Amino acid sequence: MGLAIRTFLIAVLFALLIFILGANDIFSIKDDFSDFALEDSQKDVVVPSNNNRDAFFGDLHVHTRYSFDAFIFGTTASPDDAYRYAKGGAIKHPLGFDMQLDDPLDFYAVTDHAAWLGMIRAYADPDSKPGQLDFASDLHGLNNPENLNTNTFARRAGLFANLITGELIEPSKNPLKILGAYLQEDTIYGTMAYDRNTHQSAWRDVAEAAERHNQPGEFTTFIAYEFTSSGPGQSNLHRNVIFKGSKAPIQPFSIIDSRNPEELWDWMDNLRDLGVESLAIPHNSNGSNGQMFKLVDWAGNPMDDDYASQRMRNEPLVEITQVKGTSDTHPLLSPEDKWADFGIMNNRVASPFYSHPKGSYVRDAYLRGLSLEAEYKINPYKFGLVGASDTHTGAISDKESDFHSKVGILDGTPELRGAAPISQDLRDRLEEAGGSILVNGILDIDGKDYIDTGYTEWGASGLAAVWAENNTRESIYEAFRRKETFATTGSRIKVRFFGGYNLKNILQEKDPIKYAYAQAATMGSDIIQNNDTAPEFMVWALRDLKRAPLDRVQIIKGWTELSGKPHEKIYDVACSDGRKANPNTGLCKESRAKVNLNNCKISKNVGANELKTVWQDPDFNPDLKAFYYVRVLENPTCRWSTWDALKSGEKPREDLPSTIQERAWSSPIWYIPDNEGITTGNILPDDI
Amino acid sequence: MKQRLFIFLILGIIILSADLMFNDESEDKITIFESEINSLIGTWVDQVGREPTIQEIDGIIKQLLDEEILYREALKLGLDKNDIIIKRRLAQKIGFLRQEADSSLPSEDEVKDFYNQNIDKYFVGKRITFSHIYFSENGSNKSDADDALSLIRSGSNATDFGEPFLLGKNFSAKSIPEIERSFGNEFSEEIQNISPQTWSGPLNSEYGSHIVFVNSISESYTPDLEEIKNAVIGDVILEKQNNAVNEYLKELRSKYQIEILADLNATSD
Repeated sequence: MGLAIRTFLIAVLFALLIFILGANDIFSIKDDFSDFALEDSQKDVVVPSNNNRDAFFGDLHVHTRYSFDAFIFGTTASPDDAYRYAKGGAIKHPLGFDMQLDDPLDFYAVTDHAAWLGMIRAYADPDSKPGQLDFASDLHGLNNPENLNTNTFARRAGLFANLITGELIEPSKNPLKILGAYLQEDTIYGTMAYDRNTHQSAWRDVAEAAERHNQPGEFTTFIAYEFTSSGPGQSNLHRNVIFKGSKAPIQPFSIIDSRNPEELWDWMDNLRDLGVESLAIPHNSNGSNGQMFKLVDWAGNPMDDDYASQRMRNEPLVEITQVKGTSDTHPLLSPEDKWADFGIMNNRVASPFYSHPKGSYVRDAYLRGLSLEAEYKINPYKFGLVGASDTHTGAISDKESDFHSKVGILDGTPELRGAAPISQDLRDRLEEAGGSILVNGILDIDGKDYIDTGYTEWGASGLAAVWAENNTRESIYEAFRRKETFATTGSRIKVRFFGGYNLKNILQEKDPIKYAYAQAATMGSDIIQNNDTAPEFMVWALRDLKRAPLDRVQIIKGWTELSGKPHEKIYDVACSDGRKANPNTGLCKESRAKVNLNNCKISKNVGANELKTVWQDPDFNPDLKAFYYVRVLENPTCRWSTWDALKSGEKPREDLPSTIQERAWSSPIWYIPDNEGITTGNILPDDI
Repeated sequence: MKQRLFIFLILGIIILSADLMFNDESEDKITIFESEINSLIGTWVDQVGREPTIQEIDGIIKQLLDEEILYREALKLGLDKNDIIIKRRLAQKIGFLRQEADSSLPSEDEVKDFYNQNIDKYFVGKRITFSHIYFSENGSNKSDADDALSLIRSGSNATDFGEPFLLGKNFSAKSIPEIERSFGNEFSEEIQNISPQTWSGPLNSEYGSHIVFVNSISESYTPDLEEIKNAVIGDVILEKQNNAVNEYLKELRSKYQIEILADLNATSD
């Protein structure tokens, strides 16, 4: 009896001690960070600056062999390979063909999934410690050369479906490991399948590869990863976390630590206090079933100012387009927008369920932000825009005529992407495997059978672009923070956008850009009310000389009545070939540009190489909050599915769009009436 | 601690008895090291979640011994020969080992050698620093650019002419592909023939015509190793990993005499 009481007392004292000292402060590895800078990195390089800023194009969303799914898709490309590709080199697709860009990119960030980073690759190696776990035998040798072909499609699809929900997340049965996980606040440590060495050394390779390839003035990399969380019913809440410099945590915060993005922001805030600056970029809001841009917080309570400030402090940008669809708007949200049907992915990410559009698209989020402001709240949705690929092969695929999509062996051929009819061979193999969650069945289109995977909704998209003084981490990261960013679906369209007053004659200035930087608001920032004067906007777009000419430049305006009721309107502000907008509709006639669907050739001498104008809002009401962003549309060109069919000697599927209009979107400029004393949601961390 | 000692004591007895049981001929001697057993116990703990009992440790060791015995007997009977799975497994294993062996940071000499052997890879192309005055297709007459050029040559201020260009007037150290991306092919070809430090042109681009002042053309060159060392180190590591197995194979191939006994025409039917 005495012994029991003594043991109990000691246990209580011990628990009390941990409580008082704060177990997490003592043991947490979450706050541990490291400086990954290479010893002899060129810190003293002076890179010339352009005060008028240059456009730089890149991708902040790239997976390599360390991502659990990418490895299952057959990817063996390392972060080094990914960076080599971005700089113009050729790397291999899992199916063995070469992938190479027409022109190198200016910046790139490898963003592997933090959860199980590097682990699947280790399970597949029977000699590694993780490879000796029972369930790992299913993975042994998965990406050996003899398995890198479409014969392994069914095996991979099966692994993808079962593994993630099964043994991987089983908690360890070892109580010491559980206690260790609790004390270190490191949940993954408490799972049966986890091996800290494998995980941390994969992360170290990701970080060090970024350091190895960063060349100030020439090519910029960022240490980065993806926080792959989802809300109820597989509603997508994924974000990429981008670190500003060489300092980064020794282990990335993942879904296994928490599904709640607010806890990710807490962690980022905490690291920022320790001198490790980062930002997060949500993506595939289109597949979030309304969860990405909700009107309540994670717990379902109304948003307060702390929530909005924290969100804006950590998430200044959002991905508007990528392979898995475009999240500008949806035909149900914007019935008046003739171009709203572009890149629509109907379902949630990796799920057969419909994703409801409300709260899932960026234009709707901007409007929701204004409505929240009408309730005297801080706007949590005042973000800028970037595009990305989300490739899982290390190599982006943003060219319709040379599309290799993003999930490696699962969609590496026209047949697997559903653009060419299914062969008997693939059909037999699928039947043998007894179906899979990745294949919904077979579609009969015009008497021919196609595999039905949903990949036909995907697109050859996109790129992130910034206006920055030079191609260095500092300059590009600051452009992210200023939201002086724009997004494209792959074409390197350049778009300038400034708003303010006294801009009427800006295009007659000797140096309009210098004038604009001195006098006007840049994309991503605010115009403040100036009596009752309607603001003016300077828009200037330049085509990609290697793609199609421009069709038109539009300004998309959204505003709310004083009650908070939202409205939107599209204005064609500049159109090619002398077309002018009809004052009633605000739109120009359709362009004469045509596409020959037998060979994908486009009309010559139709369209513009550049479009520029100064536009003043004809429907301006000085008392109402509003935002304005630019959408640039190229002339129509063949969609990847048309190219795929032609290259396979087949007729393009009639149920798919045969052409698309590549496009670019600027970050918005917000108009702030001065009748309110509230903050506007432009929240910057104190010291970045 | 005491319990651990006790376990090892029991293990010792089991090993000793096993040793005595199988030790009548020296080639049939099976030695099991403590580390092997500890590793197996570790795996057991990971999977089951508690320390094994003495009986269970006994079982683990018996299984290890049985496996070893069957393995040796199988070797004696030559069952490893011509087994494709074993072949592949061993080939794979040596492959992994070679890759692992070469994942360390390369030495100074290796980096230097790689740089010298792949010097073409680090070649830096021509770069041009220039200014231009832009005359758009719609905004100007055909002769405007020519007129402006002669006026500038006779002393007028260049900034008095032309129209704004989205990418600006001045371009610093641009490579030929970059110029092609921004102005088109014709312009990027012709600008290379312009003599520096004088207003020239007009050159045609995709946007209109341009009179151009080339400030300087930096000739193509190959940077010193010190300037690009980190990049070279990265390339060496990759090269080594990619080539580890191939190099090793190359080395070995010479040791083997190869004879292929097959009528390929017959089998391909």
